[in-house]
Amino acid sequence: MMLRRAGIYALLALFAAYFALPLLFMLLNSFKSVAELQRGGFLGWPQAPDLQAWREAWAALGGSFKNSLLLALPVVALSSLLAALNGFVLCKLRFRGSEAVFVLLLVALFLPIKVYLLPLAISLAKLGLAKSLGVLIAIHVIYSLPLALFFRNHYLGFPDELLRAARVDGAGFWALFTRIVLPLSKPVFVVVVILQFTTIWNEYLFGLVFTDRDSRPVTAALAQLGASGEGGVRQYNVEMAAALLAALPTLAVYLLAGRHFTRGLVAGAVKG
Amino acid sequence: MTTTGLRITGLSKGFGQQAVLQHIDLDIDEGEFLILVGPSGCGKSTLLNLIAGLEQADAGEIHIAGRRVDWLSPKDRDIAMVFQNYALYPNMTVAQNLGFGLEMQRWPRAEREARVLEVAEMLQITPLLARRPAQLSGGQRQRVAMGRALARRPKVFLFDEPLSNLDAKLRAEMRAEIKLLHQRLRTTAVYVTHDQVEAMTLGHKIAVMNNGQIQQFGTPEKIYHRPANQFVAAFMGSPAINLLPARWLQQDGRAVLRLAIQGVTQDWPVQDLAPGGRGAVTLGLRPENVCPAEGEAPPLGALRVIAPVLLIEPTGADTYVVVDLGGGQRLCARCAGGSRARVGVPLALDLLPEGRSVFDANSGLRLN
Repeated sequence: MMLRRAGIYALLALFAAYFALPLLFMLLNSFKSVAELQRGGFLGWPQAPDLQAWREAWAALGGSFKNSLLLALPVVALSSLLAALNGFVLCKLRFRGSEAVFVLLLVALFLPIKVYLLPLAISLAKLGLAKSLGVLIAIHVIYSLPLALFFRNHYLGFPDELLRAARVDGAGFWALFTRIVLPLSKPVFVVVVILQFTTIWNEYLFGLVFTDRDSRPVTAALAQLGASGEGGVRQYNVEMAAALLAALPTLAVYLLAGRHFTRGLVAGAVKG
Repeated sequence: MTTTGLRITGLSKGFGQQAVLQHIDLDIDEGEFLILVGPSGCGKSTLLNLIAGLEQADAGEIHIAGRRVDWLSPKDRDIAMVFQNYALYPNMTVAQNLGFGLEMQRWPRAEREARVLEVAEMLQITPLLARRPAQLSGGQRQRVAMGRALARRPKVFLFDEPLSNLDAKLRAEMRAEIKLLHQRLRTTAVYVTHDQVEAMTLGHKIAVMNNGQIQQFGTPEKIYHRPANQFVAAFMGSPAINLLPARWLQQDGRAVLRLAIQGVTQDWPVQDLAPGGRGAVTLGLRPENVCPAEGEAPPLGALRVIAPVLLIEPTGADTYVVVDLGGGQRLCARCAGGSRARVGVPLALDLLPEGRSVFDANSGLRLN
């Protein structure tokens, strides 16, 4: 019994190492110099560890890092609030055709985002909208509408009596929404915020196409970094430091909210 | 002079083809306690929701304290409601729950807090003010739900089966407490229940409903002693009223009810039926109007029957004895505790003329 358990743990440790190794090498190599990497010191410990690569990576990414924050934070806030509102309306304030809207959202959820790229580019051009963060924010907010489904499913288990009590108590639509519905949506918010932040932060295609040089998000800047090696020498150390840097915010979000994440995913599975 | 508390005229409501409420008329004075009682699906909760404004009527008018309200939204009707599942806001403390309605009416904070404290004192829930609903027991939640309604000091209280989720003991306690509160506050109240004990104990007026219609509207005494039809007679009262098939006929110029007891016909003269009438009827007799026979002759106007005992149900104070009248008919009698009845042994019972109801066998309507 003990032996079997030890075997299981050994196997799990092996898998864990397999997944962790690439990350470890990235981390190690980000502390090496270009010269050391060129000498073939790819696998060993850094001989003269320094933060030069990290400094260069930050110098290259810093501006786009800010862009990504300016993009992700408003998009996450706006789209999740909008999703809560839409989910509530779709679930509890049925109107003529609300079922059709629901089905459309469901379909939109399954369509790959690349499908929209060309029509969107043409539309923006015809509308005369310049590439900018504002435009990108608007696009992401609009394309995040299917998030409403998360909230709708949560509100299905919401007792109608509660809403009727609030109406008798004199709450109008907005008081109902902000004072009763929103505070009771926290578990869903945690899930949606994590998913949405990760998605928006890591999104590349729209970020590349619908921004210009100054409004580029971190993913686009990262790709640019790899493409623009000077004199044919690729600065792997800088690339790896930059990639790690770019991944930090999503990592932080998972670590901070991860505990609530699993709780939110199963919330509503069992009423109680 | 009394003023109108609640007046409903010609109220109708349907969902699709289904008529849920048909031409409801009700009128109670200010301060009266109205009970809407009936089996599930009779439309009583829909009627309450119409009064609250949570649903819209198809036709008819609703007046609260002399003001027409059926076109107003719930918050403008000056009502408060207590729900079956309490419907406390889980994200708020008890104090916030109590004050929410006042907050929505934009009361200043100081006055709001004073009122919340006052209501909490009244219901003895002051120690719970900082807790959240999840931390309360069922009875405590019920009190908070009541308090939330009380805080508003509305013109009309609406109760939607508020005690049905409590256990029997707590239910009796809360029922008494609601009655005490009402005696103190004298606010018009409408109370929906399917429990006929609650209906009898709480109401000034009872509206017995079935199939979307009011079967009878009156005082508890009238509903109990003079039910307007067979449905009301059968629905109200526990144990249930005895309903026996009989023939109404004229004999020597006198009206009699002919009953079949153990295969033998017995005639019971009646005075309170329309002269000259006849036909198939249903006799309604409450168990307390059927007594074990004493003495040689039955009391004046009573009918003595003898039938074997089928079942004895002691309840402590009273014992209910069920006898077999033959032909599938049973008769339940209320006897004082420690009755001498034995199962299988014939027992002599007197059917008393007081509280006797006679219904038309076809329409079910009261004839006497």
